[in-house]
Amino acid sequence: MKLKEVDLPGIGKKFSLLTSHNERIDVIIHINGKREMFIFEDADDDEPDADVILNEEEANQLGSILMGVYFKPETEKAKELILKNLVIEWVEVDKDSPLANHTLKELEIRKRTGTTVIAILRGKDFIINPSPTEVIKEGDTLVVVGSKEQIENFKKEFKVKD
Amino acid sequence: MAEHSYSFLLLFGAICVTLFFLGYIAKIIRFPSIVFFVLAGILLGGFISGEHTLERISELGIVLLFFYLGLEFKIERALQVAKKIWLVGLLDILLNFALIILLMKLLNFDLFTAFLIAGLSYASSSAITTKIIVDNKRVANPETELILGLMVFEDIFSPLILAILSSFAVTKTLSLKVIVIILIKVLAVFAIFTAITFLVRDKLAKLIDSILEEDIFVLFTLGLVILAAGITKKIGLSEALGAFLAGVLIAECGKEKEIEKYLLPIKDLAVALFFMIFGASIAIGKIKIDERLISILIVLIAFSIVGKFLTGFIGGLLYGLSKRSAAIAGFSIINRGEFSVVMTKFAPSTLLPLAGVYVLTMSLLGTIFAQYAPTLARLIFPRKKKKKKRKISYT
Repeated sequence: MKLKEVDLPGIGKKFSLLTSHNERIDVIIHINGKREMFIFEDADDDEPDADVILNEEEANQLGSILMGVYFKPETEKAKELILKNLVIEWVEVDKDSPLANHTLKELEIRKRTGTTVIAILRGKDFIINPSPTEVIKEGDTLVVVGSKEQIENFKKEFKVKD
Repeated sequence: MAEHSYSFLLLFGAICVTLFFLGYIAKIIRFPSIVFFVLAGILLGGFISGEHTLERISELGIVLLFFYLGLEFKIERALQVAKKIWLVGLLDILLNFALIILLMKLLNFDLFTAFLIAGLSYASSSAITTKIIVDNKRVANPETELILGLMVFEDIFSPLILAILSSFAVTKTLSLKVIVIILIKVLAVFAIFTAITFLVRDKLAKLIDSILEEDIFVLFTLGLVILAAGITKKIGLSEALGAFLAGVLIAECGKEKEIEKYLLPIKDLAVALFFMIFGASIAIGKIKIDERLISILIVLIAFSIVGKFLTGFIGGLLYGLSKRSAAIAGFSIINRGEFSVVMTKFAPSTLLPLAGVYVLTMSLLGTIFAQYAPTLARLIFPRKKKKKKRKISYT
């Protein structure tokens, strides 16, 4: 891998990434915040084979996906390690819980605590992979997944009694 | 008095609206707005003759144009660019400036006029070129670095040409003594400027931070710029040099982003008026274009096209580009625009029609050349057939 940085006066900065497959990705960050990405199938090509324009938000999103924020492929060994640290917690929502009567989206659970709600137990129903717009109700039981620390965060943040 | 100010408001408003509509048309048909602003001036010429207030505002056009060039300019970064580009920059001066002086001398012009016309033909329009490169998604292409670097080179050489022209305009004769005096003046300005920069850089940055949100901020920045421009003009080195250096000073403080935002509307207004007033001055001149002037114009346009193309092409090859990329560079920089208009400030009224037609022709032709540069380059140097998974078409 090789990274090159060049000033483009009046436009912004160009970053060229030469990959191990001899392909090239050029990222241009414009002075006004616009990002442009150009893909050269052969690093020595004069003209790009594809290009994308991103605004700042989209660029950040793409960047975090590439960094593996949402999904990180691990080797088998690492997986075992993760499993050892993985905690699944069942949380009951009582009447005065800050969780009650809010959607998952509003609560920003992942952002605030790092944990994920993988299921909601509501009476006889079992909602697996609830959508972000799902409203949590009094009496629900949430199935929360995360590391030990993250689960602790969750309990603190939403005032869950042990 | 009351009646007069009323009619000025009416005129000023009508002119702004007219410029807006023409600029809007330019945007839709994707032509440089400078062409339409100049045309507006030619059309409106009769209405605005003798409107000194408008002319005064338009003077800010040159000042702010060069101030903004300075803002984009950091000494350290410029030195880096210069290291890679100086050979191409010299070629540019040789083919599009020195050669034109020689040509005009051969056509029996006096040295001042020859110098002026060479100034007219020297710099490409960085506004037109940069816009086309961004709009056509050519930012990542190999020739783009060279083109933008060359624009920076021209940005610093243009205020120098203006400085020499403006001293020259007073004396009208060129002797060794005159040249030496001009050079000493320029060097002195640069020395003082560098000293000021290093002395006040940090303090100025702090000051800017503390008044950034205040209503007096615009007075500070505009005052700084115009005062610097006024000083260099007063000592006969043209307002462009002072304005440019004021921009560099701000950039060296690292505050260019903040200031850029604040003065942009004033700059856009002043520059639009400046181009329009230029157009109007052509109409006011009402001088018949004689045959000799037409043939000179044609020769000049031909040299301007070939000269810039060769600069980009030979320069591109020297820079290590492929033949096709070098040709794209050549076609992309043929256009002329704002710099040529600025040079006409010193033109005698007999030359204004020539300058006007030249700028209009070169900005239009140059836009077309730049727009279709990849297509033209591929016609001359066909690309080798290559198996592609995906293909992008350029229009």
